Amino acid sequence: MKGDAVVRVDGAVEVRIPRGTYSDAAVLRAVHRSTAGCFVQVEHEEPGTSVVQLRERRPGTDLERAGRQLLNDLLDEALREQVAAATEPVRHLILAQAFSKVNLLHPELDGQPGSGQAPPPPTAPPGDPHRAAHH
Amino acid sequence: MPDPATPDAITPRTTSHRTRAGLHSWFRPAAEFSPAAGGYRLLPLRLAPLDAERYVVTNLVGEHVLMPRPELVALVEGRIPPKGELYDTLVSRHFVLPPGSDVALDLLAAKYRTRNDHSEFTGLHLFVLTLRCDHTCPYCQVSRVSSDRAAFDMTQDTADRAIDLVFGSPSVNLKIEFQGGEPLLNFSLLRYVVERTEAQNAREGRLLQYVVTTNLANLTEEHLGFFRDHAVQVSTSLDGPRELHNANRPRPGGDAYGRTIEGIHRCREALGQDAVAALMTTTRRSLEQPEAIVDEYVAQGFRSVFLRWLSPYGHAVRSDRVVGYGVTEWSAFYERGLRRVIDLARSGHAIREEYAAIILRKMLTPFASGYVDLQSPAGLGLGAVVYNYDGDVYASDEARMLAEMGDRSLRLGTVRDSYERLFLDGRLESILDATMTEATPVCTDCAFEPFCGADPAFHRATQGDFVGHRPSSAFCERNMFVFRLLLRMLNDEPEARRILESWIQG
Repeated sequence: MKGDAVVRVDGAVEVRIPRGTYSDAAVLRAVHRSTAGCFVQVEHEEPGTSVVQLRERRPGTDLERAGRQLLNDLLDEALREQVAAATEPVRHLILAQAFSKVNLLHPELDGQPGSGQAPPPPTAPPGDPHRAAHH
Repeated sequence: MPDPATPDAITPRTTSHRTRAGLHSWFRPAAEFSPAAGGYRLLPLRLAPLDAERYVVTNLVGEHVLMPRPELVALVEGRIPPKGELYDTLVSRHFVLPPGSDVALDLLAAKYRTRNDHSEFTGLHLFVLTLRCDHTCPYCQVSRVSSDRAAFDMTQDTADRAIDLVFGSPSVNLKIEFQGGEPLLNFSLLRYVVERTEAQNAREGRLLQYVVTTNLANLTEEHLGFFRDHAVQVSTSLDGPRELHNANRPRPGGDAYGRTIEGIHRCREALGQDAVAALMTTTRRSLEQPEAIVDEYVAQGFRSVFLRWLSPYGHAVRSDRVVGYGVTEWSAFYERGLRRVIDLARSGHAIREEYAAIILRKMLTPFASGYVDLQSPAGLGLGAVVYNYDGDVYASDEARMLAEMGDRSLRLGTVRDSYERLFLDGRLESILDATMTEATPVCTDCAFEPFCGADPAFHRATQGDFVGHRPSSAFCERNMFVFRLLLRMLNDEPEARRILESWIQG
């Protein structure tokens, strides 16, 4: 992309982001962080550029600095998406294990001595459908 | 099969369970613990800029590392070399799974469960015995009334119904805290509540404690005798040196500081050195004197000072010109005060800053803080409940303060409602839904989320809804300042680290 991505236009600052560089979700997450000091408008221009317009919301906000911070925040959001893609399954597993009453990671340990879990009930042997031998 | 007579014994079932190395098969060979070339598995983590050079990276349970961005990118892309101090740190703090091991998953799950243990339901019960008060503090967060208006006292009937609700909580640990106004102005009801709950607890068998929050201006020998006989602890306000305290807390006669100090000494003589705690309120006048405030606490023999933020309720809002300040001003005050505390601790004084201690327990241990405003879900109703003088029941003290401003959105009901109606009919649950930081915009991605919490009353008061807008939230900005400050101290200042770590012991 040629030229500065952060330009002043009519009392606002525009940040031009080539579409495809970051996901739409990453752009929106990064832009949301800017809403403390800025009013934000996001538009899509052809042939494939997202334009984020920042206007002063909090008096004294340095809009050019906010625009450059947005570019850094975009990099962080992209990194977060990489982490999420790599770790979401194991994150779900850890949280499930944390609150599960059975051992999801090592189910073979359930019922073992010291596991805190009761052993599974014995299955009836063939020919003893009413488990009469266990009474 | 293992011998059922010794259920906890780890015994091999048969000799085939022994490995060639002679270990039971439940133990892995030593070779599996050696770093293998590449191939570590990334574990869930969150990242946030710490300063211009570094990022703070946290895992699900708040363990952290600091690293420059190129190193962080290398971590995420699987390019950290499998040998060396950084790799060992990442393994030991559960940021990566080395090949052949999944121990970290169990450990993370256990720590996560520990941090999120809410099995002790509503342990703190606040009784607002009266709105009467003889002080006229500009930052008072409730609508105080003059001392002669008994219509603003809690009645015995209301207290009886509140006591029934106290014992409706399943919590083994129950703490009853008397508040106001000035609760000693309704001492007869305080006495009644203590005696009735003690009698009922003889049957219930809970661990019951009492605290009275008082300005001590009206303390008598009768009060002290009762507190001694019933193990009632005392919490008072001490805003700083004499001039600051008196300016913050006007009363007829203008001697609030003298009465407070005299009261503290009398309480300690009658009840013991540790039976009195003090809290300060930070006003605009306080901002230039953090060191003097800390020194005053040390001079008066306190081992803890809580450098608090003034919440925007009640008279504090109406007195904003006098007491109001922004996050930047408070942050500078807080850092100066914290450093003064650390300096005094280094020179041998037993003193700690309480907000830092609460956060450090979350940063350095797997345990929850128990602090209502730093929990997810928030501690409303779960940790504390307020029985107001008029019988209204609120989810927190801040909820009561919000109601004083005309917003009763955090009112749960009245003492005439059943326990089930107040806590289990869905109203409290819907409020708590809005306080799950794991699912709040910005918080869900925030590296500081394991240390933080939600303050729905604050966000309702300042931003109009329970969730709030995090990018412009003063609660968020203030807490992130403290988190960053503590992390820098822990990692960059060895002497400060030694002191800070000593504060997590309790």
